[in-house]
Amino acid sequence: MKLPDRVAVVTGASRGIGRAIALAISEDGAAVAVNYRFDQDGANEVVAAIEAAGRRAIAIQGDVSDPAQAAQVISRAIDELGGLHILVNNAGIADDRLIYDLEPGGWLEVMSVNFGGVVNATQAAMDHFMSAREGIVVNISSVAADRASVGTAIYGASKAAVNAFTRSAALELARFGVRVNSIAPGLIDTKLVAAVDDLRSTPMREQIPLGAYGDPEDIANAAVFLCSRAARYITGAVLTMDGGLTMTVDTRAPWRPGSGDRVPPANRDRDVDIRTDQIKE
Amino acid sequence: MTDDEILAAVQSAVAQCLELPDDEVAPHATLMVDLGAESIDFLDILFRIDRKTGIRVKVSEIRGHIMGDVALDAFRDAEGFVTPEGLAQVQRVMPRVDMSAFQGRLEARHVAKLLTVQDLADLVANHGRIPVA
Repeated sequence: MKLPDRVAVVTGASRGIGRAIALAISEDGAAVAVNYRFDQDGANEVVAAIEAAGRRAIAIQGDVSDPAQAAQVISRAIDELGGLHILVNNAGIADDRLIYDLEPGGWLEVMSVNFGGVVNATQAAMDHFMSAREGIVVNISSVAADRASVGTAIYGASKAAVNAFTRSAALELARFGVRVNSIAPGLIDTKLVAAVDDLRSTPMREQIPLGAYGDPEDIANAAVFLCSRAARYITGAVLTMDGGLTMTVDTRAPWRPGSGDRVPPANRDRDVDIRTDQIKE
Repeated sequence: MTDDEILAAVQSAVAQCLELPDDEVAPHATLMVDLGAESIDFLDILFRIDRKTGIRVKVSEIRGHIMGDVALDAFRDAEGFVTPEGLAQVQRVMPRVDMSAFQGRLEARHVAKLLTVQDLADLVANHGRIPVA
């Protein structure tokens, strides 16, 4: 176990990447506060899964885009789980509207949740971390922070803001023993990504060198690593995890789904139907 | 807390933060020049003072404390030297500084280097009682 006796808050943990992170860090020994905004059933299911595995977890409702609610989420976690060592700022929303289609001020909600949520929760937790002179913050960013697609202007800007905040927070908190890093996922196999990508004439999935979407568990594995002592020398970093999607200028598909009997490299150790390249549920 | 208790808390915070023996953190020692504090150290110093005294001073308030009500353009001239009005203000918040040594040739960017442990203790003790910029 990499995270024994640790207490973690994961924001936006009722589903998707946040859910996977909550489950993974609990598997490694941490007690987890599963924060959610709307999806109480999802959060309770995550808590139940963690408890079934013999770990502690609680669900905490709260909209981290609101500073007071973010503070309440953090203080409840500290009170009810007996401390705080890890904050995973995962809560985020997407908006793929074109700039032309945004109403005036239509950028604010995405910024308030994706960036404001990171700032609010970090501020709420930092006093505790600074007093303890230890703490770990992992922010979930996106490759959209540094690479454009049509419709990612505001989402990408919010994630770029997260990366900038990550670096400054890492600098300001380094002397207090607090590490701050972000993970920049590429296309992860969530409902949100599939809904957008499947509508493209050429799905971006076909441009991923490793040949498949990532799994939420891939991001969770990286989060566990960044939260562990093995990452003690890493701070202010943005860890890109995108199957190679953003490293290249070569837009030809490195491999083409359904074109033969090859299994895409990312799927070789997974349960994949190679005829459709769909990872089986 | 009494002023003496606050001074003791400030000395202790500075000593811990900069990893100095307590007796080296004399009231008249300047934080940045004599004791080697960097700007990044001030958050830690002020955080420790907060924990010891319950008085939270923000890093940004130090500059406000030093400049008082004097506007930046009145505080320093076009070449970046502190004006007579600015020097008078510095004298008010750092009364122990020998201002005759700086007449007309103190660069504004060096003013913070004059701040002593006692000045910081005064700032903490007066916090909430004086307007800050």
